[in-house]
Amino acid sequence: MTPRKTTKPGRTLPGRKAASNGPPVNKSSVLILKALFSFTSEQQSFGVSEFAAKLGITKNMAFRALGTLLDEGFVVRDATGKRYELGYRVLMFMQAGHGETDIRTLCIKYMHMLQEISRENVVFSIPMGPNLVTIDVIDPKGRRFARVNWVPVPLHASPGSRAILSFLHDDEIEEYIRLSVPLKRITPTTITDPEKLRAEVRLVRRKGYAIGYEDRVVGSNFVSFPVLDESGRPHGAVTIGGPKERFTKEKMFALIPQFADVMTELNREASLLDASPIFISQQTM
Amino acid sequence: MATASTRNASSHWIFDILEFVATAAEPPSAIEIADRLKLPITTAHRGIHTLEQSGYIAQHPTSSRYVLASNTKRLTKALLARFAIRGASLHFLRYVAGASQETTTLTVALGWYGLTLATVLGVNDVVDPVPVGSSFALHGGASGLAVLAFLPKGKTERYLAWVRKNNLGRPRLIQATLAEVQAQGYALSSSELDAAGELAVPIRNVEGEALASIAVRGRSLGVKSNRPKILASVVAAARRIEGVIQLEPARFHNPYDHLSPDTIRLPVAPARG
Repeated sequence: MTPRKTTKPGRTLPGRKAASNGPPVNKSSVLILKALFSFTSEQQSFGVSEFAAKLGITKNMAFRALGTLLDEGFVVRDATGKRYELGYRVLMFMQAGHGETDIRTLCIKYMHMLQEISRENVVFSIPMGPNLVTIDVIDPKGRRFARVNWVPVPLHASPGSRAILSFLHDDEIEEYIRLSVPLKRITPTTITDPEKLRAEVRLVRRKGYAIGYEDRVVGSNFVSFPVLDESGRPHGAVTIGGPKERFTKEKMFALIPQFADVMTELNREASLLDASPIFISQQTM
Repeated sequence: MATASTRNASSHWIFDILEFVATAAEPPSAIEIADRLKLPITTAHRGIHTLEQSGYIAQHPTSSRYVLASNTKRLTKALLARFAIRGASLHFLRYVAGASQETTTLTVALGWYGLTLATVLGVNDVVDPVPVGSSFALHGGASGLAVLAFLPKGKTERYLAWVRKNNLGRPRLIQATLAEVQAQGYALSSSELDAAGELAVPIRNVEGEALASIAVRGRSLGVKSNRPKILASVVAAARRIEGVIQLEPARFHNPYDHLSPDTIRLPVAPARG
């Protein structure tokens, strides 16, 4: 299997827009604002020389830019006093309702949309160590469950699990298999052969969703979609399904394109949030 | 602090405009920005245009007012990412929110303030949700008290001196509350029936010092019989996070711990719980 790409796509730096009509810009301030934006890169601290090199300016200009940002509280010196790091004044951008949304809250609106399309159960699950746990449920009548009876489900043993597992790095998948063999059987159709699991991972990556025929709950069919961040790491999975007499294979496959449209919108918003790290070897609570 | 010769004085008013747009209750117009900051309207327009071109503010799609743009979101994301404990805790917070059905938060100390690093909403009615990025004096809520009670003794004494100096509360009362939190291992505020209570457990390093706290906030804490189960889920989450921290303790240092707490000034939300 090919390792998944985890690098983030290119970002537009400030000050790069083509000049538009309007009053002239303050060029020195444009440089300062561009300098501040440099602290959003992977590198968290800068010395003056490397900062000058990053921005393509002289050391003197870099020193003045950092001095201004230091004076304004947007950067601070690190513990050595020689390097500069992002300052906490940036918190002002989170005031007045500009704060972030958690992925769990973000998913609710889309889960209701999926329930209206399917008239089935819709659940949101997250990875926790080598398992998946369900933390939100909307029932076929559109009610958000007051009680979620979460049971840790191994990352191979349900479509939600595999929707998450498939979007981990290959090394993490192999670590999971190494730590989990023999793969636990939950129903007669649970995947327990590591080779079949690897094949399933390839299929889920290609299709963008995972299917489960009674492999987690006897008598029920489910389809699960991953919820991913900008780098393709999984936040969790949204699963739609119900009793096989009602949520038949035919009905499920007929609705998958509509589910996929909703999930595309959800993932567009989810990409703005970073997925939490996953510690495969850690036990679930 | 930069000296006059090393800073760019003309940027100061640009940042004033940016701060006004960021903190105004409603998106301001160019005229409101000029009036509020006492700038000539042409200067305000120039500053607005500079910030727009640099991706920090944008015109509201249906009006001539200004709102924050994407670069500010990138910066707040970068700031939150500096606290490695946030990334390591989010899954556990969601788990606790699922178990308790109540809103769950992660709080760290930034100077003498509690800073909310993450908020996960529960299923139950949300009472006064705590926004990410909000700050409050550490004794102003259970989540701050759970941190304050497990700071090194000398630091707690400095905190009480700061409270006394700034007339922010009664140090003796705070001290008594901290002793209670230390004895029981968690902080609980507003436990009256039907009140939105807050229950917080510290996340501690191997030396026993608090790095952060997990708090559950909601009406169900007003029912005494609910508390043991909620407390158990919060304690379990805190212990799991502590396990992760012990694997790489250096990664989880507070990135602003080297600054003197007395020099850090944050806007303070009203007292909670």
